[in-house]
Amino acid sequence: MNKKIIGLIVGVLLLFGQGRVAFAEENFDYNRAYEDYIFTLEQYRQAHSEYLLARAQYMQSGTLTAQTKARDATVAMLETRDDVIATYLTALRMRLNEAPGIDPALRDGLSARLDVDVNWFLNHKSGIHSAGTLEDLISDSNQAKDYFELTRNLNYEVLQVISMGKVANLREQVIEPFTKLKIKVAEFSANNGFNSQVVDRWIIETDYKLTRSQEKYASALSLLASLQNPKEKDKYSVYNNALFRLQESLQYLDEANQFVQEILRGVKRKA
Amino acid sequence: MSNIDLKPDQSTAPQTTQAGMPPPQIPGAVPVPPPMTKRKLRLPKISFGNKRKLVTILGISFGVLVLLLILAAFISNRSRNNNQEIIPTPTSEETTDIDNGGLEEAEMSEYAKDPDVIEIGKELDELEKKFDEVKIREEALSVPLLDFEVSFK
Repeated sequence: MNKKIIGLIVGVLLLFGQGRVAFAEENFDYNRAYEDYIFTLEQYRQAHSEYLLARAQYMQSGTLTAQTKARDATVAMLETRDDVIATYLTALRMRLNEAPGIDPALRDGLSARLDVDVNWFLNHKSGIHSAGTLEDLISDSNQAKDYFELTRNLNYEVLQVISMGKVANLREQVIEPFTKLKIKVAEFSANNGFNSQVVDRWIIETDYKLTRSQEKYASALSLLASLQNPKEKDKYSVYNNALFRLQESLQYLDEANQFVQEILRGVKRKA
Repeated sequence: MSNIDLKPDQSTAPQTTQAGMPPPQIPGAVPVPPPMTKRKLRLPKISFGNKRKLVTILGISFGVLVLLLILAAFISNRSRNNNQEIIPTPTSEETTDIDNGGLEEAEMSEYAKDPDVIEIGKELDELEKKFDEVKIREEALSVPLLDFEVSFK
């Protein structure tokens, strides 16, 4: 009888607990992930300051007490550093998942690669030699440093894909009303005797802007391949270059949108 | 020096006789309670023999507590959702009239009132706002600057 009641209580608690976990998972979005990242970043800054102080004291005095303090501070710093990277990558993945205009296959591939890196840093954190020597900790730090070089490249890749998604999404939104307007102009011209001579010329101008925008977009896309190339050393420059071209692509899109508005005004205005 | 009388007050002295007998009842006087004696306090006996009953009561109480917690979580979640719905966001349809692109009624062509043309106008207005808001660079997610140069030399 007692066992049955205890079993019942445990069952209810487990059910309740699972519900709460599921509820929490449902609410985990980019904003939540970003908050986590900012929180751990603050913790890292604190731990890093303490590490610098403990290191300076050890370098000055060289005592065993100072060495122990330096070791403890280094362990704390290394652990929070791994946390920062893991939460940053998680926030990046959530942003990637919520960003518009990204090809689902590309999104899934990048998400999977981000997950691998998150796991690497979480595993690295649990393997830090908290009872080891200072040399062990330097070795732990160098492992993370080497891996972070690879992760950084992936970060730029993801950031560029998110930016490209924004441009692609806006491009679709410009093309849609523009296409509708072109159809309406053709319809008015055929059925209602609308003189479309001027408007037709404006449509060609708008198409040109869209083509220029697409060229700049393609140029940015080619730089994405450079980011994936391991021989490319300066990923940050490549990323910045790609953003510059995307900005140009966006500028052409904006101009195309203004042209479409002008065409619409031309249709609305009496000849 | 002083004329204060230090003799004990007769009216407040204990009222017992020399033989230890209770004092005689004087009409109108406050009755003196009998002296306290130690008595055994008799409480009703609770039988702990039936453990099954006790466990059942505890189990039911715990179950009720858990149900209350679930109910509280459900209500708080629902009220949170309700709060979010309190402030309605005005949509463009409610706040903006039909945009004539700065044209006077007399300047407008017969095509200006075409429903598709009006719809395209609305789409373009919305799009204009998006162009104003969009930022290509993800400033908030710049790669963090971390110290990887750990050394003690």
